[in-house]
Amino acid sequence: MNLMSKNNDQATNEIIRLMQTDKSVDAPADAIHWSKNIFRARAAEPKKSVLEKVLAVLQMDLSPNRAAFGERSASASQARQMLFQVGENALDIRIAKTEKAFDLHGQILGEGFANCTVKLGEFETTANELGEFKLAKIPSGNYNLSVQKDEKEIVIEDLELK
Amino acid sequence: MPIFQNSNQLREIALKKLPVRFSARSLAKTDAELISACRRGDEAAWNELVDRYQRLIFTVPRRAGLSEEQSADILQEVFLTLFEKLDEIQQPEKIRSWIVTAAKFKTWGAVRCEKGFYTPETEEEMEAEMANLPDTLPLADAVLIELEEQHLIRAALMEMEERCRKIISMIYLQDSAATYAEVAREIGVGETSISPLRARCLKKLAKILEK
Repeated sequence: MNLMSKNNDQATNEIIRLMQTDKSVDAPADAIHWSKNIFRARAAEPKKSVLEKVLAVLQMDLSPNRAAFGERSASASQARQMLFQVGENALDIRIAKTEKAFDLHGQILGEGFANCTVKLGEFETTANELGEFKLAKIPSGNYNLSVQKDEKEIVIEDLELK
Repeated sequence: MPIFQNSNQLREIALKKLPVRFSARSLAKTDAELISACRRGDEAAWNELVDRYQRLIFTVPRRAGLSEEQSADILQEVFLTLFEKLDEIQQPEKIRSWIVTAAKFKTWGAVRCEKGFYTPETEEEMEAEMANLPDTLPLADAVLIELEEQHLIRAALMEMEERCRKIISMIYLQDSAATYAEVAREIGVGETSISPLRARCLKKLAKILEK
């Protein structure tokens, strides 16, 4: 039976019947109050972090002016170059010393880290679509480098700039 | 709770069999809008959702013969589950059906527990049991659909101008059934005006429900 298929009188009579047989009552006030409070109470609880944090493993560390195995010495970089492996991703980092500080260039290789957030201590930048990033004029010191996208974070601990 | 994962499907089957004859589209803020606002952390939207559905949820276990205390517990459980699943609800526009099904499941759980019935171990078993409940039981789909329709009428009444709401509520709602003379006194018109006013208000009410 569909109300829409009824004529006006039938529809009105059906509405009246439903109202006259409506025996519902409001829930007790304290139960309503409790139900409303769920929102405030739960919203105030700190959300558990679901961030998956993984430590990168150093695969290769080339000092400045030192060629990689199999390369001519002439091709050696002026920067220190390091390659870290994290599951199916790799993190390529080049640290170049400038007059008073360091420039850090890097690229996160593999899927899932395009436009990721890169943090080196208190310094922060965003990678491009290819996962390339640059942090310039970083004072010497030891830093934790973190590369984060969505719920995945890759961390390199105690990266030394000297 | 996994028990509700496929309940929409169950509800769909029930609705096809006995379609609710009114729509909820006339409500000031749609259910989907309220759910969406809740997801953004809008507490006022949650409070509105509780106000909108508390009576309907509370009525389900009461109609099944549970005590006021048990029914209040079920009301709280339904809202707690709804809150926990806010982000998972796929079709927020069908939240009324979800709520009624949740209240029905939890009521059936309480009834079964009280009577020492066998407890199904899996969700599938539970749903099969729910689907095969005889239509004569207090929680039969026809009864629940009627409760939903009554809920929609109450919601539509809330949208009407105060005078119409007063006239219709006083004359037709069971908890406030009044004579024409009493209604006339309440709204400050002559008794002979009540009949045509009542007819006009009923027409407006039907129009809201048909939107």
